[in-house]
Amino acid sequence: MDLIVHALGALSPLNLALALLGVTAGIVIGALPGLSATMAVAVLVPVTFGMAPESALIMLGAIYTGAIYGGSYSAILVNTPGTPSAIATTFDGYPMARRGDGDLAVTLSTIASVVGGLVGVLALLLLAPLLAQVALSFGPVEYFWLAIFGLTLISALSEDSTLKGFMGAGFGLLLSTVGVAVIGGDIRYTYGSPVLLGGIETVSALIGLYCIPVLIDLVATPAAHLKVDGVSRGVRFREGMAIAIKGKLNLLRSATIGTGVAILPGAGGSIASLVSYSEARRVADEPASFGKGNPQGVLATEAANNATVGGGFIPTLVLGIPGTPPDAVILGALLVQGFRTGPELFTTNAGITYTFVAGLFLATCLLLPLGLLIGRYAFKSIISIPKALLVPTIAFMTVIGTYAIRNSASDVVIMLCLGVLGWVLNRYGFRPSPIVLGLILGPIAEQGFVQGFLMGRASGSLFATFFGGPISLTIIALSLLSVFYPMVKARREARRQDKTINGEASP
Amino acid sequence: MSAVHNRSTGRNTSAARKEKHAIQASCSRASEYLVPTLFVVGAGLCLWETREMSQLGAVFPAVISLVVIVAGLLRLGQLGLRGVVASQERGSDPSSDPSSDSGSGSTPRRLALVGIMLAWALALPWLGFLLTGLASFVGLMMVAQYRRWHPRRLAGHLLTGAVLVAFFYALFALVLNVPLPAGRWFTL
Repeated sequence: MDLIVHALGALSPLNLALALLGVTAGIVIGALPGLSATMAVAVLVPVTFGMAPESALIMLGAIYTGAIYGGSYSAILVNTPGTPSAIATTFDGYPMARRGDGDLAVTLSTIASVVGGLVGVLALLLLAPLLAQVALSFGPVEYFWLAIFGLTLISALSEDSTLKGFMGAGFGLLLSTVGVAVIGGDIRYTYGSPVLLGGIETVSALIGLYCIPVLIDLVATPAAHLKVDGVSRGVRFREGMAIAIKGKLNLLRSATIGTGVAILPGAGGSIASLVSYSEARRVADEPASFGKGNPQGVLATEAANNATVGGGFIPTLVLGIPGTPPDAVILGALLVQGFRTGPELFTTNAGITYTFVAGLFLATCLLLPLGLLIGRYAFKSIISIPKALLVPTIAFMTVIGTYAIRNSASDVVIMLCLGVLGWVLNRYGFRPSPIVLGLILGPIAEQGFVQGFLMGRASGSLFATFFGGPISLTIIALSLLSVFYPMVKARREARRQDKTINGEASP
Repeated sequence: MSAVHNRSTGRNTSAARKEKHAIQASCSRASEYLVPTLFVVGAGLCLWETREMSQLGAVFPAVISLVVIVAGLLRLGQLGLRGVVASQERGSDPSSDPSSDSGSGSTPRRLALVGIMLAWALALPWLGFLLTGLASFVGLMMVAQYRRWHPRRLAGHLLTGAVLVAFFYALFALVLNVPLPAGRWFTL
């Protein structure tokens, strides 16, 4: 009943206008490579301080929801994830755009984001206290194994070779160790350069590894960036809905995975979208079509990463442990508005909690019309801009986006060097995703590993520390399954094909 | 006669089977061996450097270096056992692989793009964002243009470029309050 009262309060014309503004600003900032959801929220938080509490909360939720979704535009249209959680969207979104289905991919991402967002918000509303307890059972060792699980998934998804995926992930992990160590404070692999002391910034590496290879290949040929059909086909909403209905199980499964992974602080959208992508591929009738423009791949990743919005707020609101960096910024803003985390979430604090949840709900619903509208405009802009303008515009966005993260021109040089290296490695069959994931998950993995190492050494049993807990063992089993299952499946299929060929040849 | 025939058929079958299971090179056959070797050497150097770190700082990079070395050696072993066949004609279906046009196309234009962007990044603190941004925009425009320039097209592109640079500059510097470098040039 309280929820309905607060939801109705959230529907005032002013709040509706603020939600519209927040979602639009979030989408635009999230779509620009280099401007992450964290930055969108952090930059716009001070704007909300002067507002009435409910308006401020609604706008914050709207900005965050819009920014997470906006990351998919650049992932689909220019192969550059606007936010790390959109990495897996590039796998099928960009191939779809290249073959002329960019409009459909954007529509699918919008539908999936709405479904995922709604599932996440429902979980926040109904299961928050219960799910938050799960987050507490994860210690440093479990986090280490979770990071390894994320890396094994991405390595196993490397179509060319799992071993190449492992080498790439290892390279990314080694890159993450550059600079001052998370534990111990050692200065590593800087070779006396003060520029490398702060380490390699994840988002600038992401921009370099994904965007620069696209630019390098764009200028090499006169061919158009994306294939375009002569006739305008609108947003292809009906077609998108038909695909979404066909993949309803995929959508729901991915949204549930997204919510589940998001409750673990630090894991975030990148692991959530990878796990759901990997699951969607595993259960699909034609797993080989994933990575080549399968619409179900876009549905899986986008449903999962938008579900992390609601899911991430579960540990943030119940335990006061932010699930993701934007959650931390929003938690700060909520505290300014008089919110207190803890068991009083749905009792003493019910007013603020319900208004915030209603705001998230409203923003997620607004994603559908706004996303389709802005998405259509973004798609039309990308296909109609001549190459001579598209290349410098993307280059400009990569440079300004990278510079803006730490106000550092050295980051731009590092971004460019990593981009050229990424292009070379891509040529030799090493995809950028394992490297980027290694870089993102490196600090989580190292912190867990070193803390586990210390705990194991203190207790006198390293083996039991790393391989003793039931959660650790489950994650290890899942990691092994993700590495070996595709191999076993491929071998079985090859054997079956051999048998069929021999059977046909023998008579 | 038939024994000789059977032996040669057997040899052909085993060669065909080996060819079937052989790994297709992403680029050239030599590079397929070279890149894992470079990974092994690089990880070896990283492992060597951990000697100068404390135990806590060294444990993670040492383990990861070892994993990369093992993965690289396994890959080399895999290549040795299964053999490598040269890369097939790439780029027949651009939708199948986003990197399919890597390698084909104009190398001078690729180098020009990287050169301009590098010069841009290095000149940024000295000449400021606006000046380097405009100059690089025009440079990259020239590199990406394949059709002939007409005065009207050139003027249109230059105007659009100036508007785009001004828009992003305003968005970042004024709206988002990012302190973009004005350049030491002006403060001399």
